[in-house]
Amino acid sequence: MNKTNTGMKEAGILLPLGVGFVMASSNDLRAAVGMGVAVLLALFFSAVVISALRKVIPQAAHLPIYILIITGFVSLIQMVMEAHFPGVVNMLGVHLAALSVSAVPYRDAEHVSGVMGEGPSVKTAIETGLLFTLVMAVCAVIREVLGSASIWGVAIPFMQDFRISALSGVFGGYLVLAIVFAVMRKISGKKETEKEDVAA
Amino acid sequence: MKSTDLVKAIALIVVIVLVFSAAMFGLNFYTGPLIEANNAGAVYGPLLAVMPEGASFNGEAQIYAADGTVPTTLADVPETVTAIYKEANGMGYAVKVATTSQYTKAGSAMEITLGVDAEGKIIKVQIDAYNDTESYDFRAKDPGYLDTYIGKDSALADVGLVAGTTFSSTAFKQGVSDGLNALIANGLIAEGVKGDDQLLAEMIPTVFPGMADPSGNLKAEPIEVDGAVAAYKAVNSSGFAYIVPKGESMVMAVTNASGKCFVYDTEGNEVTVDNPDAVALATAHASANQQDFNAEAQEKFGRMMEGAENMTALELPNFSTVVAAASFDVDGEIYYGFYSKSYGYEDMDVYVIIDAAGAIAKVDAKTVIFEQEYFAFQNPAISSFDANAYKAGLRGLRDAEDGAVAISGATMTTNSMKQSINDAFEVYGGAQLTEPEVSTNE
Amino acid sequence: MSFNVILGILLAGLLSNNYALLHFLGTGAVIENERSSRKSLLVGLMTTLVMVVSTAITWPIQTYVLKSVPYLQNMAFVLVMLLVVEVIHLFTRKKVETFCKVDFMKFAINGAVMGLCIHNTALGYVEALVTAFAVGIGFMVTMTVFSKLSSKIDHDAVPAAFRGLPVNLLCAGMIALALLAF
Repeated sequence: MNKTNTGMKEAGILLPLGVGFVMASSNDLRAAVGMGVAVLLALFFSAVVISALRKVIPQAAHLPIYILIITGFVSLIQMVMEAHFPGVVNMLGVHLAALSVSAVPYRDAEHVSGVMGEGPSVKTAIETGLLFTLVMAVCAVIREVLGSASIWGVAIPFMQDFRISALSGVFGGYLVLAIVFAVMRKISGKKETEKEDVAA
Repeated sequence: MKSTDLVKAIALIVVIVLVFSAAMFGLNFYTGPLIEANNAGAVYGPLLAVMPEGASFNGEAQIYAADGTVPTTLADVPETVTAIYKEANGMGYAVKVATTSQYTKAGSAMEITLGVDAEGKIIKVQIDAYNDTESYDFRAKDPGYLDTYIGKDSALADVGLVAGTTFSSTAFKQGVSDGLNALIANGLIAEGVKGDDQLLAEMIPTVFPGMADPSGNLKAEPIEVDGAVAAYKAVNSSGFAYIVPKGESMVMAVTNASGKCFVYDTEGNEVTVDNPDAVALATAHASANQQDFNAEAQEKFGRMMEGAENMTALELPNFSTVVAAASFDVDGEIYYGFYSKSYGYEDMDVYVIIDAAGAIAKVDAKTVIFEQEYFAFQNPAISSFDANAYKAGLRGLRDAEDGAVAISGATMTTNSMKQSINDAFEVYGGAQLTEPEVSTNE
Repeated sequence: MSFNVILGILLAGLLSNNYALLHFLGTGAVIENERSSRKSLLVGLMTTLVMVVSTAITWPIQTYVLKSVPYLQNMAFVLVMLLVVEVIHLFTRKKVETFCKVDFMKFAINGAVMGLCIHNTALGYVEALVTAFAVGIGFMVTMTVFSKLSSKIDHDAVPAAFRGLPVNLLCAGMIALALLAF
């Protein structure tokens, strides 16, 4: 099985769990990158701690413990971001705090860090974090440029008259993510068949 | 769950919570002050933009909040003022105002931040949120408009409105005044003194109602006239106003469409006889520049009333939207026609014919009012408007207060019709066109 | 609080204040929902209960305890939610055997509950409780409606790349678009 395929498979499972914050933070590139970094760091730190503690955590009570560990790291990240990037935190609003209880880091903890050693856990966490950052950044570029005629908060003068303001709104979140995800799938699907052709 | 597992789980949870709380407590020593500074910046940042360099606001800066979240000693603060902040070094005040105009979109307001120095002069005005219809955005029509407020005191001398966006710019100007008045009412700044020319210009809608719309907003363009400090031409060409110096003070002469001239002093008293110079200046300019509407009006009256003869132009006794009046006979009956140019959604030309008994015989309007497409475009609900039935309904009225004048869904057109009909009756009454006079004509 | 205000909050919970579709909180839980309508209703109802009870506890905590230590908010709220879910599960375990504890905990501890508790701290206590109930009911209705709707999608007619999540997103987007009108 090639790497894109596994990546895509993981994406297929994880993206639906994280659609909420992906759409919420993808109307502005700054918010998307901020959220991406937060997700990446939260995944990374909780993967390290959870995989280190995996033998100590009783299986019957793993859920509250995982969630509390994730919450702890999300809170710390949130504090640092509030101090240094208040604008981004403002844009993300309650979604940053809601990351504590998001199913994405939890699933990562349950399926990877809780059962595997530090090495693979950290690798998966970083991969997942980068995947989300990439998806959010791509969606954000599309939505911010076409919807608000700006990029990274800087207005693009010649685009001002061609704004599709619906794209920066709620519906734009659904539409763009659906298209981006479908395109991702198409591209990775193609690679898969190409490789099969070579093998044949 | 085994009891050892339960104990282990609870212990682990307690340890996790304690460790993270301790970590956050520690981190807070570093992030806490930064976050506090950020929050203060978020509140005071926009305020600094309207204050001079070096200004700063501290924790006790806010001295008034409309929602009552801050203890305040201020009284008589206008409703539109949402917050007042005092600069820490006595450099002045920042005032936040939220106001609305006729074109404000539902549920939101035009938000203004106003910086005022300790002497009561405006440092800077900015619009934080503009929620009027975009086509009425006065910032786009006149990009320098906001700068005309800089350095002005509460008198707002020489600050006008932006033509074409009167309602929005009036709301803005009023909002700025409200902000200043909140400070004046509490003795924080001194009230600005209005110049004589400003007092007189503000008087125009009162002494010359024809130069104002039904809501009392001035509808005039400034013009240059030799010998006058300032002069205005009515948008509907119903006359002129001239502000001329007189000794230390100033007076204002107004002329109507038939050249009648009145002079007023700064207190609003009529002083025509004492000011022959002002009258001479006004009538000289007016007679050269006043458009004559008599021929146009009489032709229209003739078309409206078949068989009209002996058309005689009448002098206009007052300063209304009526720009021409005439008397004429139809089959031996005498009628009076009045041509009013009132201010509706767009400017309207209304012709009102009143019979000898003082009742409306016929009304017609040249421009917008009886064009159904215009209404349909504005409001589909009144696309069924029947112009002929409406006109017929006006017949026999003796004033404009009757319900028949109202057009549902078209408030501004209705107000404009009312203004025209009222003005026609006013000229009718003012010209003393009474029964005896009619009988002498017969 | 007048009846009109309560009615307004309830309607907003269903329409303009719809957490899952318009606030993007708990969207994943709704979009991934493959339960039958009956089960969706039940899960939704229990989530509503979690929302109301959590709000009832977190509001006073925020108001009276967390004022001086705002950075502990996430930790405190998550602890309360975990406790509430655990207790509710304990009481309903006998009657509701449709899903096991971990499933219920995984489902009920979502961004919508967390976001709601945080948003609610800005309101008055009674208003917060009514809002929690309204949002919960809105969440339940959204979930049920969405599970019904997505089961009606003819997947053979959808381009291969759009099958599954993308078409579900578009479907949710359509509902959101309708709700935006309020």
